[in-house]
Amino acid sequence: MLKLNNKNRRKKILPLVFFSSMLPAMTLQADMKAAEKWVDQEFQPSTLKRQQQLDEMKWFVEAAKPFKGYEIKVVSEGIDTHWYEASVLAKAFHEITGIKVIHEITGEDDVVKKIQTQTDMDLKLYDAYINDSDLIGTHYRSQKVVSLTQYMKGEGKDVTLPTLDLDDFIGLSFTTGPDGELYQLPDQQFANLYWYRADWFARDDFKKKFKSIYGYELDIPQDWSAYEDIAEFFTVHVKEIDGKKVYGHMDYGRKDPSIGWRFSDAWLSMAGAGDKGLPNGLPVDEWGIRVDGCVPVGASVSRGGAANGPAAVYALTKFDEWLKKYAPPEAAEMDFSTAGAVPGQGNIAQQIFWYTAFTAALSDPKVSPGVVDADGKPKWRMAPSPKGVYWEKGMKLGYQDAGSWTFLKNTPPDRRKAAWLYAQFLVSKTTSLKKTIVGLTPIRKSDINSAYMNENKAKYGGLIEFYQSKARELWTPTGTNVPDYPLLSPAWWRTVPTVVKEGKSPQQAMDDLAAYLDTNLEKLSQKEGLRCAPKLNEPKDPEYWLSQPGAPKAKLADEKPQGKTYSFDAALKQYE
Amino acid sequence: MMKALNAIIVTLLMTFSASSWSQYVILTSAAPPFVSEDGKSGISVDIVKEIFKRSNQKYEFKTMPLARALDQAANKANHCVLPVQRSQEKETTYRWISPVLVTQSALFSNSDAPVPLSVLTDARDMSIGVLRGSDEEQYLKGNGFPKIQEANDELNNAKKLGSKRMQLWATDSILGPYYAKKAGISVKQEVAFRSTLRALACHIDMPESVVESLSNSLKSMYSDGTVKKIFTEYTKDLEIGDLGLFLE
Repeated sequence: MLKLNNKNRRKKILPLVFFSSMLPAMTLQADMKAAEKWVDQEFQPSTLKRQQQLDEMKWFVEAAKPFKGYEIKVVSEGIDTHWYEASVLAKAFHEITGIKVIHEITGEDDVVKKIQTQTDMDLKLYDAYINDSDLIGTHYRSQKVVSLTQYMKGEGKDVTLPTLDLDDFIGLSFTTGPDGELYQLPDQQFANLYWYRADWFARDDFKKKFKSIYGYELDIPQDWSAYEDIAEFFTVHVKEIDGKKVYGHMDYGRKDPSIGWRFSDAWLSMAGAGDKGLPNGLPVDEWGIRVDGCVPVGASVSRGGAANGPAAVYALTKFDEWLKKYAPPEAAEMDFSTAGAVPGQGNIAQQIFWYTAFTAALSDPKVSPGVVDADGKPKWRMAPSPKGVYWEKGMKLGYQDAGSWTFLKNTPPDRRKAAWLYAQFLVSKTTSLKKTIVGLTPIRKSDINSAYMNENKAKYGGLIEFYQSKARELWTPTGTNVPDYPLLSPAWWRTVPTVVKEGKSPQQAMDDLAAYLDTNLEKLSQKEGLRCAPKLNEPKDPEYWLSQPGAPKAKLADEKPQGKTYSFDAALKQYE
Repeated sequence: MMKALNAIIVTLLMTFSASSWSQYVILTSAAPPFVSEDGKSGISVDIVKEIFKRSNQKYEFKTMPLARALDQAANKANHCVLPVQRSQEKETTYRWISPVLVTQSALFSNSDAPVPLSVLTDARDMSIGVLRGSDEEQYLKGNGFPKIQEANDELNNAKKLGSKRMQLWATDSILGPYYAKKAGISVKQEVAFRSTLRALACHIDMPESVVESLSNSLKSMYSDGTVKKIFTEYTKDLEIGDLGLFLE
């Protein structure tokens, strides 16, 4: 798999020693010529001046010299940003530095399986991973992941870009362990927000009809009651627009790992199942796992967790009910990849949890002609997701994904250095604004606040407003309560779809989920070398925990109070 | 300590109980050098035999077409299929003993007509041969490669590349050199584009204790060099470059 190893590389280079006095200068010239071509033809616009870009490229050329002729291997999931990296930036890096990169694109679940395999089996599959920061709790505990804080000061000092400017990154808090060490470097970020057809919501006839039925304004829902009313309004009352069947809700229900992420990313946290406190809720987080200090002590209510508490059951009940009543019938058989493009077809009015990674696709008139104006402006907007009835002020406001560079300790040091150079190339200021424009998954303040982004805000339906505000810190990935993401995440896809397909009750499904989590937390408690290993609380009468302050929260008598809506401008204030 | 001891005893009892009741049927289809034509040997077969031996589980091998094997392992208790590319689409259907092997898909050129490629998408507009129904076909077509030519077997692809009727051949990094040798042609691996965890996929109701026992046996085979020994034995005469470096 590693086509040219060290030994072979040396064999290739030795005969050239004869020319050694002339070669370095000639090579540098050739590499800088390639750098100039890429800077002028591809890496524009940039927040750097041309000369600053070339200076940065010159540093890469010099730092990469010992690794020229290497072929390194990295892997990431398949979103637009990573396709751009694998097709364009990997090629540029090869031409500029002489390091060939096999940048594999695969499913997110496959990335997680591979990183798990490399750590568990001690195999050398990849030189680096772009892995979601949801695994920060896993990486921090396993002690098999390189601390970048230490690496940049020590072994990797000579290959750390002087202009990397860590303070410019917006997502470092997600990739830092409780010990203050940086374990991952963000490569791309996207949030989970509410998505709606602003053009339909602005129509007077719909506004009047909605008010006559529900007694309040058709606008952005503040809570799940209003979301449900709007879903019913479009699916049941509006039914058709311009002769086409329309729906008030979109989701997916196929038994697939992606239904697990969808549910653990957003449903419980926004229902209000966890505790107050950022980034994830303490002591009970958005998975319903309770910690004591850094030690997970249980997920089921009987152990102080909230995974099968009333708020979690409310979340699954609404998920199932809305999918069956208000989404297109085929949605129940869809997964992340097949469902993502559906809003772009122009028959969906709103989606409670929508990943902004789809912004580029839904802003492209060729890909999504149904939702983009003739002048290229989207007919839709994104806004904060509505909150469930158990949600309280001070809790997280949504989910954010931060795909981040992750280096494992069993990678040979020379290969790790070559991969670290590639990682930095992909997030360097020379390349990052262009990459952000292509994939719309920003990681740097300088890109978000750039002249280009300010001039083009209107094209992106609210994305830039979100990332220019404090919201980018209030929408958070899975946190450190989850001690082994690959081991625990199957809990979600094993249980959630049983309600949709097998007719299990939401309470039974969440009981199964909590039991799965507890069983595996117990297993982890016996794993050697695990930092902050779980130690389960002894089970108690659930009533004991439900009567304590915070999560798990007791069942509310009324889970559907009067709905409330607000305007786009008022919704943006949530970001402040 | 007491807790750990209890857990071991429970696992042993459950494993013993499962093994005393179950005989596992392992379904394969010929795919040399992973599975020999008669299904009795090959890299994957030898590895799985050793896994079952170390876990004290009874088994028998049966050969049948892959599609039927996948279907049977999904629907019949105590049935497994080997070797399967572990993927998100199949993840929820089976219990997995993984990875029995790590392989990769690559683009090969005819050594007489090399096609230097920096990244996979450099080959987007070239004619690429694939095995009909293969993961390579699915991946390349799914990602918009327009000039994909399907063949019913890999030997045909090797011959087509040899006679320059296509520019590139997308196949497994071990199968490519294997069939090239069989066809008497020389090929060059231009770019690898996807690594795959090849696994033993078993019926979803396989007891957790058996999955754990088989997985632990596999892990021990990586640690003590058994997997590497089997892998080297079957690939020593093939030009597969550094494909085995993941085992170092």
